Amino acid sequence: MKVLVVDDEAPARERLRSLVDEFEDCSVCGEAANGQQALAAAGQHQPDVLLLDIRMPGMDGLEAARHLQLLDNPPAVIFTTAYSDYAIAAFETHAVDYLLKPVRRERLAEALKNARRLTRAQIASVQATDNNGNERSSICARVRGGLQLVPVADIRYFHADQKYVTVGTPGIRVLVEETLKSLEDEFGDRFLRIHRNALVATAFLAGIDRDPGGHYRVSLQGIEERFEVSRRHLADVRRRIKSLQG
Amino acid sequence: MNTIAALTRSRPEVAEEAIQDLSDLFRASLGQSHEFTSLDEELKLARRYLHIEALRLGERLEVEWQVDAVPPEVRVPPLILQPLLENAIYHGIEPLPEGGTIRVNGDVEDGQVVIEIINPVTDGTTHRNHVGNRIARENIHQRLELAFGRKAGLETEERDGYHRVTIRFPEERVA
Repeated sequence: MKVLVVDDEAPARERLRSLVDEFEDCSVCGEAANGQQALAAAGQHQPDVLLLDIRMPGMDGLEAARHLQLLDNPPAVIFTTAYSDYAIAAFETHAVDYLLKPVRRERLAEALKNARRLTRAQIASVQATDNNGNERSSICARVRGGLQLVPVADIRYFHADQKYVTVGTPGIRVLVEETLKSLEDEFGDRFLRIHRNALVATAFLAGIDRDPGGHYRVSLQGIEERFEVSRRHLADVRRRIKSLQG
Repeated sequence: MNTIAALTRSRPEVAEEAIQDLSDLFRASLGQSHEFTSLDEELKLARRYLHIEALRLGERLEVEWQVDAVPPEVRVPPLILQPLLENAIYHGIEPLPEGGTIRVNGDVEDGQVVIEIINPVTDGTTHRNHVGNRIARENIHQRLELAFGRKAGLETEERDGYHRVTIRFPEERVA
């Protein structure tokens, strides 16, 4: 079994590596120091299991676990944490394996033996008990078998077209299988609904004008495309633009 | 503890040092019966604590000391600095993937000792209002007032990406 060790502290990784190496049927295939690195390493090494620290700078373990589920064949995840405030009871009831640091050898052996994949419901329950990370820092798209991360801070718009939503930044266009509604719920304070089919980033709103056909459209900093504003959202969009300019 | 567990395997002599540092910290926090200690002792304890954190965080933690201007025999209530440094690490350094520098500055102004601890903050963290952080701050503030009355104080300030906590107390020598 190939194990990927993810922890921001080098001594912690070192210790897990030497513990894992003692088990006959396990080997460490790589290490990562945060969520972004973990996703890249998971693509590169195709681990069977991740030992995933929860509290890490940049992208934390909970968000990384969420993104990993997008892979066709996601690895199993065992959370490791030094903090009992991640509502251990909640972990237990949902049968997500977690290990408290310093990790005991017997517990690690047991967890690796039972290593199982997380279901979406389990991730959601873990997410619900985590009081920091409700909002993702990046959107993750499946691209040719791997994963591509798009930082939310760069995103100009989400545009829905039938089954997919296009995520757009000045340099990236990717499709994700999420609904505008769920994106609006999660990022409602950064993105504004302008039409049944579009959310735009309030921070990048540049202006509003009318096309020759009489439709209102907004422009956004850093990209050429313009997006139609429906009559229903017009007053709200104008107010936001005005308050940004004022 | 996790760090020490790791070091026991790879570098036992460093683990031994860490356990000695930790013992001093435990001793100081369990035996807080003394009303005053010297600033020199307090700074030693702070360095021991930071030594342990440096093992854990590696190159992500840098500390710059500028405390030579304060006489070492000045008296302070024990364990005033360590909780403030712990806050600086937990809320300032740990959330930064590349880490950062904590600055400890000490000076004497008009018969008052002034010590500042400065750490970088990320946009997302609400350093000032974090509950644990506030409790530590209030506790230290109270202990300073208990020891020195109204001549002592604690202030915090956050701007330009830095968090600064300043404590002041009268320059009195250990008896």
